[in-house]
Amino acid sequence: MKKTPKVVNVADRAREEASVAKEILGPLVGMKLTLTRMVENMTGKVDPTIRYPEERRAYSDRYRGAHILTAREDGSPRCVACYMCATACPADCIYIEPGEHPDPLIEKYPTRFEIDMLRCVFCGFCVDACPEEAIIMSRETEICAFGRGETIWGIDRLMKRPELPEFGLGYRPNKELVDSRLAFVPKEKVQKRLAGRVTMKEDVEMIPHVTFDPLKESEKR
Amino acid sequence: MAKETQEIIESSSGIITSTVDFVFNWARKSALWPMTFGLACCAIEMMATGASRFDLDRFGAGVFRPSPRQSDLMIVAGTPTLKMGPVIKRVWDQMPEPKWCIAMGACASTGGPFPTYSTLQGVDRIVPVDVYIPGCPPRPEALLYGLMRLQDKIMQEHPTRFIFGRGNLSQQDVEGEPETETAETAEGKENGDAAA
Repeated sequence: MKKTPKVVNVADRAREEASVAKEILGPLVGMKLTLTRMVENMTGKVDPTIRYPEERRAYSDRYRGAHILTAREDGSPRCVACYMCATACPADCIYIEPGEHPDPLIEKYPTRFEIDMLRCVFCGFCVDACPEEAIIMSRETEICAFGRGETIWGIDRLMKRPELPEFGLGYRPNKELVDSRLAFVPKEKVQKRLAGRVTMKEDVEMIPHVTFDPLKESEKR
Repeated sequence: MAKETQEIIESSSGIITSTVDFVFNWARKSALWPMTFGLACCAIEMMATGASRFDLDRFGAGVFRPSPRQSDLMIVAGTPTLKMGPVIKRVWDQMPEPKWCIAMGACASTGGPFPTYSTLQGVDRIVPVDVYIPGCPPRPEALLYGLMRLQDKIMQEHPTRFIFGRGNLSQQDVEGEPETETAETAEGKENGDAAA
């Protein structure tokens, strides 16, 4: 037997359920919520704002920010100029010029390796494509420029990252870098930039923040 | 103008203009009213910046104006297509001076992942851009950082030059030049005027 669906006339039902008490109390219930939130906000019980330049949200360990070119033991770039990243790049923002490496085991190295940060969409495909752990990402987001030329980062800019301790490593194939290391600028400059700059707002953290201190990392080795 | 008068103005205007400049610049940078203007996904991130978590109002820039006539700042957030180009240009032209422009995200800055027939390869082809923010889309922090850099840039401007007869230097003349060089170029301009 076919079931006949129950027909509900919403207007009728509303008319049946209407009452004076509801009309008066309804808005008051809403007002109570509004006022509670207002008091909470005013007394500072609820404080969702991250006061950005002083406080910063902790990013995920897999955050995809500006790229880093990792280095070999001697400090030269680990990249072998295989064009994997440039091929995988959906925005065509990687430009590589290869050169012949004196070491016959290495074959090629990049004489030029440029990433146009403005065109980059931070998808992380280059990191996935890289067979050498030569390109990884940082959690750095604070890049901006007054001109388009400023954001084309060459090998030096991509390798030596004074601001890295402030942000930490981002998306990368291995949590600990296996074969490669990072090239850094002197310690003093790092400390100067860090002085009184950043406090993490831990209570808004959604993903556990993995602290990363590159200086300690490099001391370990 | 006589040369002596010019010299007097030159010598005295340093103190006056620098102070007045500072007040003007401070007022301008502290109340950047952006256009309500979003083209694509970056606009979502721009809205997030305006919301309570990041609170653009802390910088005086949270008053999103629905009319270009009332706004100082155009945040081009999203992919500008060729069809949208003339509209962006018109909105920019309708904004009163002084005005600034932020290209937010890869698409607005360079065209990003769309090197195609339908996409404008960077909004700087139609309007002058002051600050470019990379990202796809940029995080609210990145937008705030870009805004703070724009505020720094505004503080470098010399709005009183026009009043003291040093010629109405456009934004492009002023920006990118260190303090010492601007003085030289101003002199050069005056010499050029005298010769003419």
